[in-house]
Amino acid sequence: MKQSLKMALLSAAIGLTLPAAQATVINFDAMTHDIYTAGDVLKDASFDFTVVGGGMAGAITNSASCDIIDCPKGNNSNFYLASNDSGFTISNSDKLGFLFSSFESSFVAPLKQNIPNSVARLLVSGHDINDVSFSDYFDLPGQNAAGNWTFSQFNFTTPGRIYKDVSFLSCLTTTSGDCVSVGGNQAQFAIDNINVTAVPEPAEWLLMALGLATITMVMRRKNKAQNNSAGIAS
Amino acid sequence: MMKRSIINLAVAALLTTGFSSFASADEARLPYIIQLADKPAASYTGEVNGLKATKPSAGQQLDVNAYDVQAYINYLDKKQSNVIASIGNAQIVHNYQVVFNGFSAMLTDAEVRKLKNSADVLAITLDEPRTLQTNYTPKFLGLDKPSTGLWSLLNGPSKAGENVVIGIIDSGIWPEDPSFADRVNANGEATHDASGTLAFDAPPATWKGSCESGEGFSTANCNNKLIGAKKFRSIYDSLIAKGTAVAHWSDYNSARDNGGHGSHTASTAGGNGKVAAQIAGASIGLISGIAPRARLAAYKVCWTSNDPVKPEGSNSCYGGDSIKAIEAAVSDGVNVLNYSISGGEQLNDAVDAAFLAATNAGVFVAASAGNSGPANMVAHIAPWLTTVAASTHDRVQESNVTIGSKTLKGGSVISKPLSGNLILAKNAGVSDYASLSQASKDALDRCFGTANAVPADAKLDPIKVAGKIVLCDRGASNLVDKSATVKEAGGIGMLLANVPTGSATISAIEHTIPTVHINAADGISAKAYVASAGVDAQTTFSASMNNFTGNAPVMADFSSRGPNRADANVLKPDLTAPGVDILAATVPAQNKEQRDQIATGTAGIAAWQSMQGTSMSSPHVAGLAALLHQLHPTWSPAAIKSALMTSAYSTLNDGKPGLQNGLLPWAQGAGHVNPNSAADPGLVYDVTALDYDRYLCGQGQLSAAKCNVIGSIQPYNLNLASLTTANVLGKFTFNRTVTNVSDRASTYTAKATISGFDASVSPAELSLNPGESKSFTVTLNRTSAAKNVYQYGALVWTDGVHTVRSPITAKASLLAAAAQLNSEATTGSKVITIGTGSTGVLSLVKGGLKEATRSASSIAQDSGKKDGVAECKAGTSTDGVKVHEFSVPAGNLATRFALYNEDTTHGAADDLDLLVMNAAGVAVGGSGTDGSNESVLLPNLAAGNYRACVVGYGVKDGKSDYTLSSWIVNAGDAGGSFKALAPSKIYLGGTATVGFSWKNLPAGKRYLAGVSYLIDGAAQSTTSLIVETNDPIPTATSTARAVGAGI
Repeated sequence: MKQSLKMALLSAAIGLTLPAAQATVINFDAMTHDIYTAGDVLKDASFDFTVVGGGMAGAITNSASCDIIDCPKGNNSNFYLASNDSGFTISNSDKLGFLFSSFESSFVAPLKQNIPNSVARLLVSGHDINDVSFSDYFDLPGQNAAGNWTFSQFNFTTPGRIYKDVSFLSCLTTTSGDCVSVGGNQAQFAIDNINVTAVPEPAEWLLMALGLATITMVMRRKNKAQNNSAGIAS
Repeated sequence: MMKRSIINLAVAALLTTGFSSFASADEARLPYIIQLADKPAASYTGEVNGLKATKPSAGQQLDVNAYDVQAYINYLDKKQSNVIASIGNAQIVHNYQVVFNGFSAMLTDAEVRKLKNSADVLAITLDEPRTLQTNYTPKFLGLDKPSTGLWSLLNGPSKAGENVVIGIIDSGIWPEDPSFADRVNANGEATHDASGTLAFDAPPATWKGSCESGEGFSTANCNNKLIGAKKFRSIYDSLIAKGTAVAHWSDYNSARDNGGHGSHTASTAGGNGKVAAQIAGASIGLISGIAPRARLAAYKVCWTSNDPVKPEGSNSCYGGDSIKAIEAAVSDGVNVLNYSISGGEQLNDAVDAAFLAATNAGVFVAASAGNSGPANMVAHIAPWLTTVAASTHDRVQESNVTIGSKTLKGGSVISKPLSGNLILAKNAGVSDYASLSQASKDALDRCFGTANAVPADAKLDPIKVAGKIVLCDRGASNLVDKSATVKEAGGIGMLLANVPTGSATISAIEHTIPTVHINAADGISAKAYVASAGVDAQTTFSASMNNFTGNAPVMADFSSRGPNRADANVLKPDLTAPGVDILAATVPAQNKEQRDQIATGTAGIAAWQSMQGTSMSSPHVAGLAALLHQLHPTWSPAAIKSALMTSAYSTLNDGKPGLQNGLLPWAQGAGHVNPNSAADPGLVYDVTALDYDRYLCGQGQLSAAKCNVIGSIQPYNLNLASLTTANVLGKFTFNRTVTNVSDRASTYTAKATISGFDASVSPAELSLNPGESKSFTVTLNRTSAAKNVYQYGALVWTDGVHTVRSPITAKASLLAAAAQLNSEATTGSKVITIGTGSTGVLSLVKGGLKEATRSASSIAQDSGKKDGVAECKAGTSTDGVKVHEFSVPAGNLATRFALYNEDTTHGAADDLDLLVMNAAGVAVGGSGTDGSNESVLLPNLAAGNYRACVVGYGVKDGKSDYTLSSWIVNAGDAGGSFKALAPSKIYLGGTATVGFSWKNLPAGKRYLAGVSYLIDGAAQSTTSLIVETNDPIPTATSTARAVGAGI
């Protein structure tokens, strides 16, 4: 995983100070089955999922509701399926931002067929609360030895970095591992158990971590979009 | 307290009302087959910790007494007991462990629902009764050719089939027939005479079967030829106990055949060579089974019950009894099974699931394709079965028919000449022909009788018919019913004439009076002759003789055609074999007194009969498989099937229109069997047990837990010797593997051709050592193939010695989508993949979810033809056929009509059927299962008026109330917050994901939605979504009632 060295250092510094109380695993299990198109916003916990892509762009569904399409096995509860070359963006408008530590994902093949090797890549990009953009990618593994798609866990090694938004898209890859430009409606992935920690507005946690007030104020100035909480004035 | 008093009251009520309450509670029980998740012993490959694999290796047979097999069976027993314990009071009929893991039971709806929710249960199937669907043919097949014939390869007919055991699951066996004797007389002809020489020694050491005695059958009826005979009727007995079925007087409660079907199929597959046969006292020469040295074992599963229409009764064969018979046959050690019984129109057929395990244990299974042709009704569609269509052979039995100065020829089996006055049926009626309605004219021309609900004014007049030969037209009724009608009116013979627009085949079958069957042109001549000669018209039939037509094989009209309705990517039928005018053993005609004597120990007499049907072609293939198994003991059933398919040749044109044409693979599969070439096919397409399971996973037929371990493959990539795809979306690739089964290294080159596509094979050359396997692909690129029109071609591998041919069928589409989706969720989603073959813009039109409209009415038992056709066409309700009118507006997406046992007074004890017609009186759909669960789903109906007609096929106590559910879903109908989404951009040769969702439907109801797919605004296809929030119980597959073979 590639990260900018500068951002990693900053993130690490902030991470030392954060309260750990609000860690959340977004698993979609409390949500009802539904299908989504571009611009639809789903809410789970305090997080917003904004659907990106046209037409049939995504669904809250489960393995049993997949027909013909080869959804991942071994997880019988709800997951989010990003279909037809689409994706989504996670944000948290109620809070300053969020920490992002891990998620589970799998490629979703249009048909049941044996694909033992990786054929797709998950593209993750976004902005931190300083509006610094970043991007990263994770190769989605091929089917397991039994010929099934299963969820794999991916860890995000940027402890303490606070994100404003994180977007997920996928691409199909060539045999040498490069993205192909056209997904042909077949760049699709399922995602579940997204491990995030909402970061409260500075007013809520500064009081607990006064020692790092300076750094925090710098961040707040850089991130005007987040200055909507009355607490900051105090 | 309250609850307790209610229980006490209920018990008291039961006690006071006595037995009838129990009876009605019991009435709600229906026979079901429950399949559990673990593999049966014949397929088990060692996945359970501590229990070793029990599936036999290639060339080996399953030994059920082996320690490992018994240990695994014990394990299955325990797991079954746990499931059974959850439905404490249920009546368990059979337990299965060898070829099927599960049990059959008489269950209430509540018990079925309980099982439905059990994680251990894989499938629940309502057990619908199935029906039963020479000899010259060894010569026609070339088996007796010197040196090159398959018999010669096995050292002659005296060795052909040696020590191979063929099991026949059928209506039993007539043991006195010499086809089943183990001795020969001084001329080498088969005989039961104790003075004959013993020709068979003890059964093979692997044989563990036995001979069960019973009514009219003792262990002495078995011998070293007929080595096993068992009966299976526990399901049938449960239905007798309930009063649902009443055993017919003619049947025997033992393995003894009633009706002759089982004896016919057994003697065709493995009856002795050199059997001196007679029909009606006249010798018809020596006949032989296909594998004359094979041993035979009879497993009787079909039983004759009283029938409201047929005085001779009708046969029912219950799936639960068949599965038990398959268990017994595999445990006994058969090598080949024949199943000339209907069923298997869906992939989840429980009997065909048991045949999969039998196949895994190395047992070859031949099954009949069905006699509902030329309609698209092919049965037994499972890819592990060899599904056999029926075609003609070139020997006909004919009589000369003299009319005036002319002599015609026609099919017959009559032993002595007949002369008499010839009268046309139209001149022999009780009414003046000219005064009759068209329907009555047709009925009179066709010699309709009681069996065909003849109108009173269209009956034959005994005064005009007595002592005469009557000319009847073919059409709309069984041929033997026509002659029976003539006989009943006092006629002495029938001249049966084809009509120009009707079926063109000629039959030579036994009728109750001498009958000759002539073609349409000769029929016109005969009618012209009678018109000129008037009352003096005379005719003479000669005794029948053997002639050779030279124009065979031709597909039989009655042979059910493909495409495979359950899986359009697997070709069915697989091949064709002789099934018209097959001479073989039967049972003699018997009255009740004669039957009772036989039942108490008097020996029966032998009899022979000419029959036709896919029931007759299937045992030909069973016999051939026995020969190939003898020649190549290590070949798998799939290898034998592949050899028979890739060596087949095409039948001749039968002139049928469209997809029914006999030259197409839908009729003949890979073609007509060519056994001598099958003996040395060069290459085979082999299929392993794992391949079949992966195929089933790909079709959603196995448990997720199982499929999680083994993965899945697409049906068109199952390694069959036929290549079939219903959707070429621009470009398409098949994967296949061939194995060299010859004894030398060879280099094969491939050529694939198919109209409308550019076909290529990669690699196009394969060098294979003996026993070596290599894979290749066949890719089709669409060139000129029209959308939604099937194209035909072939893949041929050749090494200069062998020609290995596979049929290719492919259809180009712009879009391929599932026709029907089902859910039981009140709030839910469905996400599916569709195939796209265009770069146009995709859009959807949706309607629904719409709740059923329910119309209540009542109905009596139909006294007419019980098919509802005439009444529905006329549009007027009768007591037995109720007509419901519907109007369908423009923009219809999906229309469905359904009846349910739970909406009918006597539940499954009422047998209601459903027929849907348009305003022009053309049937657009029908459903005719036993019981009253019927469903007709029609996508995109054209605007207009329609009739859904409910037919009282069998109504308990004379009258029942029912409720017809209907859904007419049109564009714009809304309900359940139903949403449907698709991507607008699609790709050539691509896929797209389509989603549906709905919310907060009330429980306890049935809904329908329809979604039409448009490309650039033009409708391409429709998906219907059925959501049933009432925890539905499994119902039988909707199907049209089997149509007879027209014999």
